[in-house]
Amino acid sequence: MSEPIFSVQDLTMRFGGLTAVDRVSFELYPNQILAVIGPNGAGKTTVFNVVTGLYAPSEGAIRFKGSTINGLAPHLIARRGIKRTFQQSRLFDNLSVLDNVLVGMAATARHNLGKAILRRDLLARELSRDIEHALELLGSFSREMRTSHRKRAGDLTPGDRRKLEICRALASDPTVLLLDEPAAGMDPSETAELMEDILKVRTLKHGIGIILIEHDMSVVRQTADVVVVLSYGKIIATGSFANVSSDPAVQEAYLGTSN
Amino acid sequence: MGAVTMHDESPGKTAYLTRKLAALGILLTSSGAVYAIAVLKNQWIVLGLSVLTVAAMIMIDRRPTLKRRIGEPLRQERGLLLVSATVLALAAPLPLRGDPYTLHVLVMVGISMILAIGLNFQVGSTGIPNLGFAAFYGVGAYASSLLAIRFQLSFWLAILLAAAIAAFFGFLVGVPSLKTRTYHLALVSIAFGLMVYILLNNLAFTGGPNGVKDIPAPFLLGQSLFMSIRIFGLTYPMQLNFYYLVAFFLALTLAAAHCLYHSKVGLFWNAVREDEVAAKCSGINVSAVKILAFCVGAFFAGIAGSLYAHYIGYISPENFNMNVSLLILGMVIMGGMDSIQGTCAGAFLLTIAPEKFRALTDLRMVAAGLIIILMLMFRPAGIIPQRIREYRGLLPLGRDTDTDHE
Repeated sequence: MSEPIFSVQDLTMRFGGLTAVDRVSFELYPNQILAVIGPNGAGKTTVFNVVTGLYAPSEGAIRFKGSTINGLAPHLIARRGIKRTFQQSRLFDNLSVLDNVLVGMAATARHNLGKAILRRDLLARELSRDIEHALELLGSFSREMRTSHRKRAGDLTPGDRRKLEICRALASDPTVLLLDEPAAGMDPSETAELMEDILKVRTLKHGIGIILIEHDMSVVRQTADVVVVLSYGKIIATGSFANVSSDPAVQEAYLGTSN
Repeated sequence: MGAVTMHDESPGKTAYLTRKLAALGILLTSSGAVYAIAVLKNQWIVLGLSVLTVAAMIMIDRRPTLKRRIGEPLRQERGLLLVSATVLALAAPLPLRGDPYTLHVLVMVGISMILAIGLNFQVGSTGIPNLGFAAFYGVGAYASSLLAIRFQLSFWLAILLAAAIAAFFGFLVGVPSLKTRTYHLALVSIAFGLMVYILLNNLAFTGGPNGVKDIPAPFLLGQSLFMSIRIFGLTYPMQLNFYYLVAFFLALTLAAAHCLYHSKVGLFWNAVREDEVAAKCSGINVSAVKILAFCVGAFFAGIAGSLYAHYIGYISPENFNMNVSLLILGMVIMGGMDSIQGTCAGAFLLTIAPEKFRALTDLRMVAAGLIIILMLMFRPAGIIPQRIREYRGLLPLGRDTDTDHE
């Protein structure tokens, strides 16, 4: 197998006396979907928040494309190519669908105030290329969203909000995509569509690595190549879904007893 | 390529002409109403007209078909409208030769518009609550006057330096403000406003509570703008000079605001306003974008301050106190957050209203407060609310893109 594009080693995050993430290590390879599962409060979202720079890790190293990225500001991490979605989707509600995706291109944008005022022709060409790219991306997830790209993002259905969040994250062609519980609050048909979308990301952006936090085990079973199980901030199992789900320690963590 | 363009321009000549006439008609009606509100003296007629105008706008806004009918020619005839609006704005003060007071009010309207647009970058576009904006206005006014008096700088140089100094103050407030948000940030801005006010009152070189007087007039082509001018053999009051001076700077401000709004910077400001965390994780340098909003807003406040100082010729700390900050904020909120046209409408109404209702003396502030409360109850987005961005002419001509315009 090739080199991992992304890895965390002994990642630890302490809030006061609480150790939310305790010496967590895993590796992500290109084209791989890695699922992080675990009961509520296991520290899954904290891992995402540390990796994306929202919190600085107490200990450990986060390596991305061969360099350590701990302690970098969130926008710098995003610009290097790690993008995420949120558990409670965080769209720019009062902006249009299209504008949300255009903001997502911020990571690749060369924005320059002087050019904004003086060279509007250059900017217009750049912008129209960006718009075309954004519409194409929207179209590959939902034809309808592409058509109604003028709609306020705040007026979308929960399913479309998820799609738009994924489009916004993908807009800058990231190397790693972090999905934080994308199936939360979805009905079975929406969940099925979401699974297709996750797999579609991999065909659309060849070589992308995806880390997925998910409670819905059907999603994990059908999408994940590797599963990491967290409990109380520690990794208690790693492996394929079949291996992990038959692990007694995992069953105990989930059900409270091992059956 | 040629064939495609031909196909796009298919509407017949009559439809084309109707659209042009409709656009002009709408412009003339609305500017006529605005002009009447500005010029007429009877306060009840003015009140009636203002209520009617605002009511008409709200009514139009609630009827989608009517709104589209009116909006369509306005959108398509932007060039024509821009030219005619410029002509109207240049001609508007000419009939007011015997009415320097109304000219003075119009000059103040222009200065208020520059101020409100400046604050709108912060409050409207970026979502930074700023309750001390008058401090930047004051910094600009004092910087410009003192530079002109102490160093005999010309007005043109002084206004640029004053704007730069105000922008630097914006930077100074912006940096500590990054650590705070919402109510806390509002408090920081109030504290800053008070600090500047107290310093202006107590420092020796700002003249303390007595302020700065005898601020020199701007000169243009060797002519002092404090002197009356003669156009076609008619003598006009000196307020006319300042009307055109302020109109010039207002035009620059509007152009800059338009460019910024439609640039990536404007989009990033909006993203930061909507959700800071999501903006950060999208790759936006939130700190830089916020500080830029502080600096740009303060820059325009500095321009407005300099214009005010050199127009009135006398400034004191009272011109830049908390009340002024609140008034400017009122203009932005009432007019429409993040909407350039709305902000201008708010600046117009809140500058005109106290002047027209001078007879009510102290009650006019109560009336102004009441108007704001009513507006916020029935139209919280403002008189002319922010609209979804449109990328006209930049969208690919795909069959599946929604092109209900063009």
